[in-house]
Amino acid sequence: MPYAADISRNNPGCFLFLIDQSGSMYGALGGQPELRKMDAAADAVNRILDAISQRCSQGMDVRDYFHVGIITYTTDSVGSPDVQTALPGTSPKEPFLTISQVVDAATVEDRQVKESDGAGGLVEITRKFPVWLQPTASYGTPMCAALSTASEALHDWIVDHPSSYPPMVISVTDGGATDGNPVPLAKEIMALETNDGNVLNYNAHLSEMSAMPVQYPSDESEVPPDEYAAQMFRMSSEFPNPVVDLAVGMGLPITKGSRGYVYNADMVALVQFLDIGTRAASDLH
Amino acid sequence: MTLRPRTEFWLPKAGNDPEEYEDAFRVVCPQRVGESGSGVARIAVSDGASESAFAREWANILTDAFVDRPLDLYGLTEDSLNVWLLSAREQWHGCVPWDRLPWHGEAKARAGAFATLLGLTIGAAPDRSGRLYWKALAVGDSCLFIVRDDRLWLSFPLEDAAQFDNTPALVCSNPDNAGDMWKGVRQDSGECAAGDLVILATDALACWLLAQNAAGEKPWETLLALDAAEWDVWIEEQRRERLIRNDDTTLVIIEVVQDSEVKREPCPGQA
Repeated sequence: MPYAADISRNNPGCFLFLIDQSGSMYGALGGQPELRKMDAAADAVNRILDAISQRCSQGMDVRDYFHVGIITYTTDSVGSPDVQTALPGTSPKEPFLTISQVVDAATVEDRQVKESDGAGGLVEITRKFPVWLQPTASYGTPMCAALSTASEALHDWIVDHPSSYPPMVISVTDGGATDGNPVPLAKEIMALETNDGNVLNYNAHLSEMSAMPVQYPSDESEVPPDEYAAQMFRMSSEFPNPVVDLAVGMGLPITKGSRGYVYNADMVALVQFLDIGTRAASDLH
Repeated sequence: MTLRPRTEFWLPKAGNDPEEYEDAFRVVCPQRVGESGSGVARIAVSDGASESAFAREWANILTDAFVDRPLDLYGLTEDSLNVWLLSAREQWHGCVPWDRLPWHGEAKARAGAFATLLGLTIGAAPDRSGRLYWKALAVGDSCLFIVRDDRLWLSFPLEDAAQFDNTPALVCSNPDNAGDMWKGVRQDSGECAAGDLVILATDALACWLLAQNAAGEKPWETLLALDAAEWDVWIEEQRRERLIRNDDTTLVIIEVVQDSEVKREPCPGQA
């Protein structure tokens, strides 16, 4: 049965984030003028990496159940693609770290948060927040170059881990590739496979348009009239059945055929969207 | 009748070290079970949830507590269970190095550790008839099986391989996060018969046993035929064949025998 591989040190899972850092990401998220898309993207990645790290934490140490990579992309001032990786010691050719290395790479910030005091009131306390990705935005959107880089890295990872749960690629972008049609390249990634199934390509689409947010559509007619939305939908994998079952159990609006695509989801929904795949692949009970 | 401990096997998830094994079990079996109303065998199995922090410690604390600090299963109430858990929870809290926790361990430790608990007592029947009775408590998917007359006579608390999922009921070390644990508590009891095989297993092996039984096999025969050296090899083979999920795996088997069959040797789990 596909998408059923157990996750262990011998058989780790894999997350690859593709983060759009083009100039348009400086703009505000549709309907949320106070929130820039680049901040939403960085915050979502930091929060989901925190969640994956914590899931692998045994308290004092972290078990290497996952490999994680972050590929960022923009262009230089004359439009040449600038595809980089965000984790230290990695490169576009070898973007992955083990989750314990990811944990070690975090910059940990103290933030004041308000939490329940257990007696109906709130108390301000200091909590530690790990940060891996800082928001930045400039120039063009070489999505095709980023997808090509991801495709090669995923191919190499699969050669080394042929029996693993298929890698999950999570793109955060406002769409609008400036270097060609990204759909065939996304399809190429989705055609890569381990013995346990095809690579899962998920897209979090951040737009300045104030259209209604859309989550996990199963038909192209459900996406908003954004010029890039239909394209992003076609670049998104259907959730595998075990993920659908889990998401339904979590009360999420998912059915068979739903795709890993969200449009202008707010921060809570975005993290939730990123969390679905990780949960399905990392139930480590 | 009395009890003869037969098997106590365990193996960590493939890829993990033995010290990362997060199941726990204890078997305490007095020389004479049930005589004069005294002598109660106490057996406990627990499966620490890997997604929680310090789960191995919690599973060990729970199994130790079950055999060392008798819980009155005959008069069990939600309150008595919570009172019994109080010192176990304090013990877990005391073993967490709160001042040295890394950032990724802080929230998880605050949330508490989670584990299943399967506890079994075997002792004299309450009616002093000289018969042996068993009583079991389960939270989660660690299972008790009784094989009688060469068939699976009892499967508790789950009865079907399809019932195993990733969300079993669990006992939490943090009472604030325990939810409605009482809703997940299952109890059963009955009389022992000479020749009974009493099997306790954590979820991966329990699921396999039920699937094999449903397919018309007699999986207990396979388990009884294994010696300690063969166990590791056999489990690894089942994992490779995807017949048993790669997870920490624990098996305890006890035989109920007529006194005339007993050639007493100290029980392995006996202090």
